[in-house]
Amino acid sequence: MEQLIRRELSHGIYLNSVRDDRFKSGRISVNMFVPLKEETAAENALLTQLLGRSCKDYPDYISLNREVSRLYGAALTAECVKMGDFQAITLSVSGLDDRYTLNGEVLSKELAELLCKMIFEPKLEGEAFAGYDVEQERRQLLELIEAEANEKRGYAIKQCIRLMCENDRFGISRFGTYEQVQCVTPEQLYKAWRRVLETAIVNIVVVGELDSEGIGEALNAEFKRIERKPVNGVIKPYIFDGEVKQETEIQEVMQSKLVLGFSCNITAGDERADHAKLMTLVLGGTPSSKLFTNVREKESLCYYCAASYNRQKGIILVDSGVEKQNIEKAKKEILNQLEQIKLGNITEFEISAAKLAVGDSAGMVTDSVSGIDKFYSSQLFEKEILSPAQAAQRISAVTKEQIVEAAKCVELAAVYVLTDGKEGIE
Amino acid sequence: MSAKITEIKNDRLNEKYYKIDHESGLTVYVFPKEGYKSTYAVYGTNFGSVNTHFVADGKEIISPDGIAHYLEHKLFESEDGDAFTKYAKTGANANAYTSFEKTCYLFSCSTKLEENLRILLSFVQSPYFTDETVAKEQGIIGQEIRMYDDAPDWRVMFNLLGGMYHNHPVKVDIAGTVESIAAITPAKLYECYNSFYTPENMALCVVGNADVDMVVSLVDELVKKTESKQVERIFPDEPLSVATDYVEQVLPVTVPLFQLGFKADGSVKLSEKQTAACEVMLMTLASNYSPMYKELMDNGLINESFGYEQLEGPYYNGLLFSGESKNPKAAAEIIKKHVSNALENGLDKDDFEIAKKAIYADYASYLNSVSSIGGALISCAFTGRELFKTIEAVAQLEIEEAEEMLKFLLNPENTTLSVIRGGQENV
Repeated sequence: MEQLIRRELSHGIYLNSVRDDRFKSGRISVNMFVPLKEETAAENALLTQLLGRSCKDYPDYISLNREVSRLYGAALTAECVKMGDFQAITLSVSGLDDRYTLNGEVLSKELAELLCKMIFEPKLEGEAFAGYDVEQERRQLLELIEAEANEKRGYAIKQCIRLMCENDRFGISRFGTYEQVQCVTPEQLYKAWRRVLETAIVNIVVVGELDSEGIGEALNAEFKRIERKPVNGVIKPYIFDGEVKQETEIQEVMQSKLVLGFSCNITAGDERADHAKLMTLVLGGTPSSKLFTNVREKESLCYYCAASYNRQKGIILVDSGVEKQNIEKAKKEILNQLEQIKLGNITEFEISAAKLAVGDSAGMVTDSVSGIDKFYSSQLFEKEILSPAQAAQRISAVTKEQIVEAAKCVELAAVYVLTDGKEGIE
Repeated sequence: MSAKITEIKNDRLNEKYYKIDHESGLTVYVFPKEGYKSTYAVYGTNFGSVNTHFVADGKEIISPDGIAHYLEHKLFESEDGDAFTKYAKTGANANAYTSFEKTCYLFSCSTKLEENLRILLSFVQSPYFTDETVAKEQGIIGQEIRMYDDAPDWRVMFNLLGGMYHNHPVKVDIAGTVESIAAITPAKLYECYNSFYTPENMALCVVGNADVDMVVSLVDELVKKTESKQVERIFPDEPLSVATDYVEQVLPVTVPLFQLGFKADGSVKLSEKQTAACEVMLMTLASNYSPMYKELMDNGLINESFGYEQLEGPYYNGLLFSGESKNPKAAAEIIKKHVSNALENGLDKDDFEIAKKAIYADYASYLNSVSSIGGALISCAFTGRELFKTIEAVAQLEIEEAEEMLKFLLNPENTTLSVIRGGQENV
């Protein structure tokens, strides 16, 4: 039911399908992975916006939006995200299952065809995208970059990653910089489009009661018309250079943000990745975690204090929102809680709570179309793709000693603080 | 105890659920989802941030702003330990939220449903507030309030509500303020608890891998029939006109945010058909293929974050349009122009048909998700509407019905524009 079937359609193009008739809608995603680089990040980001906005047959956003809405308000999304050392350009469409249309319309075929058009037949003017379209999308992408700074929790996390990864590709923004986006030309975007089609590692993900083979073959046939040389899909682990990076940024905020970046040198593929995952959950992944029970409940220092593990890069982040005068206190307590794990001061209750949370959420993931898509898509660079139940089972086998050993690999690499400028900085 | 069980079906989408009027007074919904492993359960009371003024058994009570939310936090602690610790032994993912008109406690799980339901039903019925535990929460909630103070999308909405409403408590932040919550005491929490956490005022919804008999027998066992209370919710008189037509605040934002609110008559309770008509009307008017959207976009006045929603509850009703814009005032003028145009000439027939199908498909997709169904059912429990009736109303909607809602809800002469700007431009 929720088992993924994966096969390579041609070199560097994979079809991942989860057939499931329980849902009233289905989803097709085409994820194109290209290396995350300083010089191309902005082009790829702007290209993603353009591909999602129009195509040859529907040459402006109004005609495209109208067509998509006509297909029972299907959702067409174009997204540019960062995954390890790669930038993923993802176009996806989700729509009502054919069984439930009001007048018996067959939507799935039309939706798959539309997705093909979006990727392979954009609206072009010779060997360039149309100038007017580029300007519209440039404006929107610039506003999106600016808006990222409005949401302070996410902004602080991004700033910490940038600080920590000065010398690592992972520090590059998924949108490139504001200045780079300002400079991209319609001709460069055309070249970027060709480059993506020619070199991307392509993962097609189909979830629902859909003809995944037919959809995969239709997309593959289009890619076959292109001379392709897919890039090598390897993600390098984050290497800590031994110097803890520190940065305090001043903004007029009511609440300060504290983000600690850690290197752990354990990445996907390493059998210890499950240990690091469970260790992070024990530290700050559930309401029974050390950070929640101590920093929030016992010390009343914050509303949130959470830890997350990026297994592609081997990075752990802890983030919290605190009063300015409590920044140092919170930092000390977070480091103390990590130290406690290193010392083996972990209770059976803390471990079992984290394991149960993983085990239980495995069942929940499989009950939603987007949950299934997201769960499998996060593993596309891994040698072995696990089902939610298999992944939970591995976590449940991790021992206390393995958690302690994983914690011992964790080193503080960056401290980022966002705070107001009043009364000096602590 | 006994219970009256009603089966509610929808053949078009091949779904059914059960509504149980339990003898204790509790309304229970069970919506089994075939083939699902997980279950979502929500236990809620029809008591939210707007219910600070009420009369309970003849006694008039005025509570500090933010008390419903504070109570939500504190209910997690019972005399025999906190609920999170209990859930930690089952692995369920538990949470709670407070909105304008309700407080809900929920979990999702894929194993040990019965055990989790026991935890949920027990802790919500076991208040335990002491001076010490109440004081401890001040710091945590204080930081939650601070976090929202820095959230421009939250501020832009409460500033808007402050501009639209003269007296209605919907204009007050759900969590209250750092000052208002300082006045909260165990006695005040018990006062609210005893008035609103009674079975007649509550509902339980269980969706997913669930069985009606099991849920009903658990409710039989665990839900205590309490002495019936006479509680009257008091709302101040609220003029139909907005309090002010423009509000702004400076925050460290790079792109200004705006919300344009249209204030409507809040004293009318909408039926399923009217709710459906409102949704389809809004999409027809402002969706991303509408002339309104096109003009805004072509003039560079909005981006993809543009959106719209209805804000409806006890004695308030309105629509809001929101987005990021370099020129919020110009954006607001264009929105109002298109509203006036629709009022004068009616809605576009083709656009209406497209919107109708899209909203219908939206509802069908909600039925994929146990948490979406749970959320919809608990709202229905307190508004008195029925989920499938709303879906059918969408499928059979006529354009005239949508136009009626347009006239009822949108008056371009009665709006408030709320803006959050960065401040640099005038410095």
